[in-house]
Amino acid sequence: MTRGTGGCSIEDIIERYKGTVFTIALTHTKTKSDADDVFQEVFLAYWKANKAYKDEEHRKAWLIRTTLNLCKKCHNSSIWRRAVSISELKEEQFSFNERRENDVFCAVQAMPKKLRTIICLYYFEEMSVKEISRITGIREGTVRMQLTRGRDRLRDILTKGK
Amino acid sequence: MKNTFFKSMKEQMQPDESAILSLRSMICETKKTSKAKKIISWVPSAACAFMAALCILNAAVPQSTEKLPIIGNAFASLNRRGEITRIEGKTPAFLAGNTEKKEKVENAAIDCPGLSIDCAFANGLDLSFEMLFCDEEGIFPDEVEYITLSGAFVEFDGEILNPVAEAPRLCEISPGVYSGSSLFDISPIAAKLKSGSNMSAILHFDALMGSYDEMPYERVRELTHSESYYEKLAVEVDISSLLIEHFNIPLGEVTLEYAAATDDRCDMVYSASESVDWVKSYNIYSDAGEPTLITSSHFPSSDGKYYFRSVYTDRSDNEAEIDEDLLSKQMMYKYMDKISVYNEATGETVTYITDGDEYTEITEEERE
Repeated sequence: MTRGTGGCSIEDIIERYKGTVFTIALTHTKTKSDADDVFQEVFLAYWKANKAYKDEEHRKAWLIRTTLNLCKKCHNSSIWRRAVSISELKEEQFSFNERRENDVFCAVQAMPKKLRTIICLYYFEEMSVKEISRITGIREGTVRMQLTRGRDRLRDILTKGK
Repeated sequence: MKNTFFKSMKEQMQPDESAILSLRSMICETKKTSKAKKIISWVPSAACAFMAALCILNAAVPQSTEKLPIIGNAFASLNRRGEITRIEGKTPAFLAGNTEKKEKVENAAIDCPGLSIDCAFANGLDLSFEMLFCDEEGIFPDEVEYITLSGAFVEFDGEILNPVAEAPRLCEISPGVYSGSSLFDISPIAAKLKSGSNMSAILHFDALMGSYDEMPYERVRELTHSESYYEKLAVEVDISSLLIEHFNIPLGEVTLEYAAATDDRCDMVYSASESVDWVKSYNIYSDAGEPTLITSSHFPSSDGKYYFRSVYTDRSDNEAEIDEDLLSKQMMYKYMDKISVYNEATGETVTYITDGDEYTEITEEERE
């Protein structure tokens, strides 16, 4: 299937960006199943949009923005707000190999959304300040400021449990 | 790699194979059920133009079959491939006199949901424009950059005001910027609003930029209630930008939630006119400090049905292939009774009625 993918198959696109989309989804949703839902919705939306992209950077930016938007929708939806038992919630949590990794991940998830997004894009996606600025529409100076705040907040959460 | 620690975490954050398989299956199903492209012949015209502009409407989409009032308008033009080539609405309408800004805003509007415009209106006079983005964590940020549109002024009681000089902190704020602490000082503008004048100012929030529920709405109400000279200040929540999000996200809960929120908090519902000239005759008045969205006589119509129209043309072909999936998604015909497409070049309107599954063209008599 090559529709709307600039010559690449949809499988290629999924393979190339699954990590990026899932990482953003996981850091911005509460449970793994929500992250899976967002992951699927993003690529489904990509497929349906059948959009032409200027270049690969443009495609990636679209995927990232769509993921962030869908995470927001997921957060706001009534389904997300349904009550679940603690044991259900624990099963749904994503788990890393190392305890420290789990601590950091929980700390990232506990951060305010905006800082979380910047931290996620900067550290997990290894995007530069300039790239983050382009994708999010936030000025570079502001990105730097939020990155600093994000690091401070991360440190506070991890050291003091705030 | 910036940090091998984060690299290790990233490598572990991968979707399950089952999620990928399920996704592939959904894509296959989508491909199977996609309808064939349909050629639509427009109302005949000996002249040139035709086009395939579609309106995309930010309607409140109910989860039941009940239709809700339309709460905002935006317009999109599609090319032959069904790609969105242009989005127009209130925002570009305001920038009609400035091509550079217009292009910037239009491009930004496509790529940057949440772009919104705040305006100070004067009845029938030149308008001045500022761009305000309000995000979910604060009203206005510490860092500001002012954008003004050259040649735009406000005439107020015979005095020409340039908001740049009068209110230097009325400014552009990039989406995502927040302060969390500082509250925008609108007193310079508010001081100009005198009772009995025709001028109003609007404190404009873009709902897309964050959860409506998280918006510091109560703080704004507090502010606007506290000062007597804010009596002409309206607080407007604009959810029309949500429409841009719909290019990526299927309609559903988002619009419904926002619609419900605005119903609870606001007195009236705002709907932009389908004409770019509406702004010149648009007067906004609010009760003292009350959050206000403005009703439009266009929606709902007198027969109780809800309509939207497309206004723009950008093609000169006589026919267009329209991907029906895109058409259905973007025209939201499942929630609309009637669709009108206006051919700007010929001045003719083609109208279709829909039953949620397909649409058929109707004559002008039937339309009446």
